[in-house]
Amino acid sequence: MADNASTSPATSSRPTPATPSLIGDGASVTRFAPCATWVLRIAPDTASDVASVAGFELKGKLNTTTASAGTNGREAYRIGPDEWWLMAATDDKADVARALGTGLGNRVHSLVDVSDRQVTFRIDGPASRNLLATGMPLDLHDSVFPAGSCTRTLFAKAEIVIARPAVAPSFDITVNRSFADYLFGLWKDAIPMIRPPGQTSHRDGTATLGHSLRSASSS
Amino acid sequence: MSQPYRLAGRGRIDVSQPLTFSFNGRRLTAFKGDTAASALLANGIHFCGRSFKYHRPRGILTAGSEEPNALLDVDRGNGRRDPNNRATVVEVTDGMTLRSQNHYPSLETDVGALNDRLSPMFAAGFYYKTFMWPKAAWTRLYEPIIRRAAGLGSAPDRPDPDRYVHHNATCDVLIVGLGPTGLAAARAAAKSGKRVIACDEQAEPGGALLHDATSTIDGLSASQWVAEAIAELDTNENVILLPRTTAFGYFNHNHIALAERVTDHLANPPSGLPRERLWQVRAGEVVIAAGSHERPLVFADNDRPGILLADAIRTYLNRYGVAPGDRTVIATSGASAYQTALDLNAAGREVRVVDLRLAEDCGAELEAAKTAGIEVFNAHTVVGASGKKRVDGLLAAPIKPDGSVGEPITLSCDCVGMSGGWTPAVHLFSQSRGKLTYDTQRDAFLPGASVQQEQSAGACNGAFALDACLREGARAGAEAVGRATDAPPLATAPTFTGFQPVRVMPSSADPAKTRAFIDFQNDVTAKDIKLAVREGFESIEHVKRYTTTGMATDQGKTSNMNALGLVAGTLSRELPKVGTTTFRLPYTPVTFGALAGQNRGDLFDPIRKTPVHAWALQRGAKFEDVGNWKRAWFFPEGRETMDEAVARECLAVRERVGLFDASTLGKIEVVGPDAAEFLNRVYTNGLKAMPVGRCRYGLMLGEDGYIMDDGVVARLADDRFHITTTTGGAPRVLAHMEDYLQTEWSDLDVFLTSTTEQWAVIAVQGPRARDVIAPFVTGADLSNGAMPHMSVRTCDVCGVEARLMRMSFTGELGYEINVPASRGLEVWEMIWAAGEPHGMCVYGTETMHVLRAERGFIIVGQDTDGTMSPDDVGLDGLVSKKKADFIGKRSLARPDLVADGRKQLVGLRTAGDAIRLDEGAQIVDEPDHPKPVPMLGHVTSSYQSAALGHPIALGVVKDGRARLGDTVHVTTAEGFTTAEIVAPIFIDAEGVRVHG
Amino acid sequence: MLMITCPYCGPRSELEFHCGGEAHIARPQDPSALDHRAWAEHLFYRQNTRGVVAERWHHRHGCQRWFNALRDTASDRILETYPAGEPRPDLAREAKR
Repeated sequence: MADNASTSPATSSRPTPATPSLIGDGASVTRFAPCATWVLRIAPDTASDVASVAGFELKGKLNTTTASAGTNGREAYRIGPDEWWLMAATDDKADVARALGTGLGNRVHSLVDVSDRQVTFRIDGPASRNLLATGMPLDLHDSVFPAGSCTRTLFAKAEIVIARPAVAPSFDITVNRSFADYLFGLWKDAIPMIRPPGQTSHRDGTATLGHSLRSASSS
Repeated sequence: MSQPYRLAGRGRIDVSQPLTFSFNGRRLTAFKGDTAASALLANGIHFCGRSFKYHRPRGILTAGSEEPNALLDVDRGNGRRDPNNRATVVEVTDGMTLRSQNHYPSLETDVGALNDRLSPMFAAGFYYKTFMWPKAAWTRLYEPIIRRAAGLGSAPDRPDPDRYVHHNATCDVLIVGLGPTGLAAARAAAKSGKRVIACDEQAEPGGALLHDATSTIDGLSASQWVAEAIAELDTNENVILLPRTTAFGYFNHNHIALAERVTDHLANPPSGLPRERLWQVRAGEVVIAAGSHERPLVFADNDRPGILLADAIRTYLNRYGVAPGDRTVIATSGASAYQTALDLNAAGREVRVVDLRLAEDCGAELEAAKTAGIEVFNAHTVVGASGKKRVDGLLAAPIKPDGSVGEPITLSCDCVGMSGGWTPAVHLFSQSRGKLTYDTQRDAFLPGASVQQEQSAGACNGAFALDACLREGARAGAEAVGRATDAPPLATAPTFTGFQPVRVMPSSADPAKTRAFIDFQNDVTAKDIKLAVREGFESIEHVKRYTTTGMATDQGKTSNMNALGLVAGTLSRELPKVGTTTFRLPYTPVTFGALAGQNRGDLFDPIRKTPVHAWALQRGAKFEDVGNWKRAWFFPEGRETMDEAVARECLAVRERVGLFDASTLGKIEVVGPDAAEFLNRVYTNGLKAMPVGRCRYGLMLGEDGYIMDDGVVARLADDRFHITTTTGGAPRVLAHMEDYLQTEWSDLDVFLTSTTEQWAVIAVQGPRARDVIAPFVTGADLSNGAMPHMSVRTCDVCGVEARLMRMSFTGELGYEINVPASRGLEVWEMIWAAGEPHGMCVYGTETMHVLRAERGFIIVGQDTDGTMSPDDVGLDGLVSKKKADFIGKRSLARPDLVADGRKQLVGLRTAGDAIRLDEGAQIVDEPDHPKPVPMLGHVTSSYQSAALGHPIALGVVKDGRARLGDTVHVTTAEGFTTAEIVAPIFIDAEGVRVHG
Repeated sequence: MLMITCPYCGPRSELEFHCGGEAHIARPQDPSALDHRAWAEHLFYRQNTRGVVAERWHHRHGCQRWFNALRDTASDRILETYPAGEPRPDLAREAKR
């Protein structure tokens, strides 16, 4: 299983364990080590005014991610009209906090450190959508949820934030820490049961349609 | 390997893969591709069950999911046993064990069959009329006996070893049913490149084409055309083709539920695969191509084994290579059954036709039959069948020009195919909330205007000819993707269509002595329905419930139109005036496993654990569920009981110091220049002037004036507050506050962020609390003067940046240390180690509850119930009298909130402190009052107080505060006990200890 | 299950939302100025119309915005959604346009 973090500058702030924690037929689940995370609440107008702070772009549209090159993988999720998640490498935490304080200055805003609040998993592989389909109704098709998308939604009975960092089907799921075991348990349970990627039931080895494709007429 | 009724060279079964199965202990053979029904028929077995009520011998009626009779218990081994499977949809696998149901001691010899001879007693409404008195006999006598006698198979008695999973999907077009119509629709829709899901309930797509041996489409045989269509769809990566998948529910906004049977057809499924997958599909457009169901004819003893629907015979013959009989009589009131006769004749079977219609009312089908040399009795009715466990003759009688029925003749046979016309499968359309309209010409209810993004096409829309189905399908598929209609596939060989509706076959026999079945599964006869109408039931909904027609697991797929028509005929009304019953989901039975999916066992709900959970677990804590949280309840040592452990923990906190994990408390960070103004409006207290570094206990009301939540408000900076909520209340409080910020007070500059899980909360409570934590705290002066009760400091604890609050929910000196969750365990362990010399004890939620109750602190949701005002619980002092407004203030002046007689929080002590009251126990003044006894209130909290050495309780009592000292009566398991009303505070009424 | 178009996020499953009852009922500026009857009507009395109603919805598990929706209570069809604070759309007028 490839280390996707290396192919995805968007989340290189997150140290990825060398091997995924769960591997299935076409999908794997990897738990990231924590990173520095803040919730920034700021009025949209003020945000456009600021445009960029501490290496975070605040110009993106709702439910999109922005990553800026050359700033050690700092990434922003805009998950509400006035709500951004700002993520940076843990080692940079103090520097980034300072830069945020300076950059936002006296503008009306709220900056809250939530680095310990949540846990992020990476789900990737060609069947990652089918694994996620076991618990969420959100349409993750390219046409609806292309690379660079993010949103708060639900997986089974847990509220999550899902982001798609890359063109290859790969998703980052962030969840409050006490729900992490629940999600991991569901995925572990589901992974052998998911539909293989890009296959209809005919080709997944369970159907016995072969005989129906004989051209023999019944007479 | 004898399958005497198998025809060589016919059918789509795979004769290269023979397999064995057993039926009622008999070892039989079949081939891959067989259903249980086709396998039984190949072995000459029709009789495979007893009916629900009369225990009459029953055989296989249909070849599809509408089967009412042939319900089998299927055992796939290793605990995989299911009752009530329709033999017509179960695919036989090697080693499968099938058993018939609803008989004792055996299928052949059944004592319950006595019911059949007593049938005059068991007319419609029999139970309602008979088992009326005495009332008590219902639960003890009648119901158990009825339940044992009636009913279908027996429920599995072992846990289901199979696994089930859900799958959510979105598509542009969902096509339900892959007969000719659905395949044409799928091909047309798939060409657009849009996302298409196409499902069919059968093992292979094709529908009626799979048993059509004569039609050609675009120059191909029907089966060749099906193969070509599937190959085309199968290579299109935008198409998901789902065989063995039933669309069983049509919900709002084109949300459709499908049940996909993944492994039931495999003898040895690959491990890990789910047995079934429940699809929840959100479709832009839906094409319903669900086909139609053939109607039985209603005549005396029409339920005998060996009597099938005519098209089912054709299905067994052409698709499965099985001839259900050697000498078949086709009884019909329409054209389509002639094709069965022709196919039987072509297969070399003896066949005759009895047709209700006059020869001149027939079409090309009659000519075709005659050309083939088939004997046809036109203008003949069927007045009965002979043979009990297998039909051996059909009684046909001519209908004279005056309408009277002539002398019957017996047509000797071993199989009958009957056809009373066709009923479109409008179930899904009806579930989509569409209204049905009656079409006189086709004698059918057809889909009216669509109310969702849906089209019905083909036979379910009343189009019965093959070329019409292909045309409608191609049009619907193209329209669903917004394209012009393609040229439809062309069919040759016209389909024989058209029938003469008949409700009950004419007969000169005494109708009161005739057993002509309408609903086979629920054993409802024509006589029952006529009786119901005579007794005054005129609405079909009432007739249905009174006679139970259409209420079985098959939902009357084969019977509804005959029942409706009979009611209309008996009332001499037009059929639409009688109405039609509502079709409800599921279309066919769905397993509980599929509905549950992964939501079982430990995955049923999230199990939320705090950062200290592992420590508590290792320490031997017992846990309790609080919402989804596992909270340490108490920490028994050695062989301590819960009471002993709690008493020890309580005393340790009162006398020395205790350690408690409060991490589950809800936490919200409130930030912005208007944060103080906002909180001042949200809480009852005056918070605006609260200095930085102070905390306050806050009460939050709903706009109705009732207590909604409580917690501590800590001011970290002018524009920054850290507030806590109850464990379960955090999301509700956050949403409540967001609501006011966004919709009522959008002028306020305030932002909210949930921080519940950011912080681990370590409570250190007791007289020595300061001594324990002091060595670890840097950056804060813990002295009473510098950091009094109800204050907050940002400082370092154990070298970790912390929010340290001096507060108490125990009545003792106490601190709550908030540290980032990832550091929670390490800080906890350091404090625990340091606490040992102080005699520190770790305590759980039970001790926390006792301690707070001793001090009279309420728990919102335990001592309040959503109808309690601050004054009711004695917290009027927390309600600011100065503030012009806050949420709920106006309601506190509502007449009912200031009226006398409200329940108020009080303490309770039982006489002689003898017993601990039950929480929830009712409180009354006069236990001997005639029932109903007027209630004063109830006990809300009750514990043994270790510190006091006696039980204490809190409760709510009408006008309780004015009744201090009164004696009331409280219910116990045995009766009543007396208790004295006291003030709801038992320890340190002056509240000095927290300032220690 | 409904499919609800959040004015900010687009169409999402009903699972993500929470309904807050009838819309366009503003909290009085000064509740204490209302007599009991008027306060009771503000608090408890609702139209409960069969047909098109304006409802408050909260995209609780999404962008967390409150917004309003015009929903036909007989058919469950949602005719329009719009941000909180905006006036109720006049469907008849829009139909003419």
